[in-house]
Amino acid sequence: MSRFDPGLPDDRVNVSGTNPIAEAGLLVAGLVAVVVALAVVSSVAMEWLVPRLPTTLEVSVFGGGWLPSLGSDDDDEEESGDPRQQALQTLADRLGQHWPENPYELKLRLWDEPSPNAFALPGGWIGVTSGLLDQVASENELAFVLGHEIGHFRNRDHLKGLGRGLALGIVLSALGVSGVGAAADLAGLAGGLAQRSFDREQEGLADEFGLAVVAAEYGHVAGASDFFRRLPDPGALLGEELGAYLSTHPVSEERIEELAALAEARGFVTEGSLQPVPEAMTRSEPKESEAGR
Amino acid sequence: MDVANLVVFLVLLLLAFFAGEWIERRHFKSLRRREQRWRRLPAITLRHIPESWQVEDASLLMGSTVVSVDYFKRFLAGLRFLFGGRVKSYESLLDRARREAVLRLKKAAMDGGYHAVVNVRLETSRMANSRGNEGTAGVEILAFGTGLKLHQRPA
Repeated sequence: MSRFDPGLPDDRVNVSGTNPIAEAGLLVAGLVAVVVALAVVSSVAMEWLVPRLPTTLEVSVFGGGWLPSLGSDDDDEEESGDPRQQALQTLADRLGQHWPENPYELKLRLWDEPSPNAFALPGGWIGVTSGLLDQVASENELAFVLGHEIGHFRNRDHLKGLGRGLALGIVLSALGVSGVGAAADLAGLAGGLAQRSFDREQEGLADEFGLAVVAAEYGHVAGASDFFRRLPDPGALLGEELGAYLSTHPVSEERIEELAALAEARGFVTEGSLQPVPEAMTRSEPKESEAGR
Repeated sequence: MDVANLVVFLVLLLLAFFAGEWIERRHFKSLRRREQRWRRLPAITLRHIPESWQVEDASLLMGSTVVSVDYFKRFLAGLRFLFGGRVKSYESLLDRARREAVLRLKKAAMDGGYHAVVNVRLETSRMANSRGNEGTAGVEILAFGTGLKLHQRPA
């Protein structure tokens, strides 16, 4: 018979017997911690940096026609011809006069987009969606939204937000290609939450400015917060387009209360007659663009 | 980014983890059993045949396995690609694949009536993913050697 009868070697030599769940937990926690730290550092850095950037530099870089009219095939026509955009421009110019030292030349752009939103963008651009125009019931409401965006320019939040978003975006896209998928999403969520307190503070200040603009323009602040009263419950919209808007802005009800408290503290008149929305803005879908296709 | 996605992801991850653990434990048990059963058939790396062996026949024998990573192992490895360190989640997988390949080589030898396999080598090749560069479809581990039929079983 054979004498070849080897024993079996230890079969755990090439395998680390550590707990994989514990390893995953530790690494994910580390990832989240790194992204949150980065989010906070970039936010603080922007708070420091942006006030030191001269406005003239910003306007010379971003003041040109870099901003496209979203959702329109025909840029030239949209830019010059749309009466809704012209009416918006007129209103914004009127409101801008309440901020005499305004270094920006306010330029309005109307975007064909059903979800109500407005943006302050570098160089003095204000983007307003057609969905917002469709939903406002009075000029006062619209004036508050525009005043809020102008407030962002005064505090230069638009640049701060851009810098913060860029910093977080670069890190997250780097994580995205590494293939950790949902862990990167989780880290991004945590990073976004960490930046939220900076957002909230900015929104509060912009609201204050917007309210002051409305009070100066109309002599009272009635109707200013009506727009938020008509926004649907953000809880029902979580994850939808509007959810993204609401997640960076204070929740409607909270915001209405804050605005009311602010109006009282600043002694603004809260009762008054509302201006109707200018007729040029109420026109629904422009017919020319329909026919053009 | 939203909550529903995270929940789906967590469920998938836990499912992959528990299923993977169960299959792995079962496979290790099977590996040990078969290694024990076939331990008398030498599958060795020697290139030269011992002089006392009288070879009657020789042939190329192969045993191969193809393995891929599960969702959980890939996730854990992805984190390691960020932080560095030992990619422990792949260790057990490759260990299983190598041992299974050697066992299949031995099975080929048994079935063909060979008494020993010499000059055993292990080769690994990566299989490309059809989606391009996003991860690896799997790796093949090939164990091959020269099967020998002897006048007498090795002593």
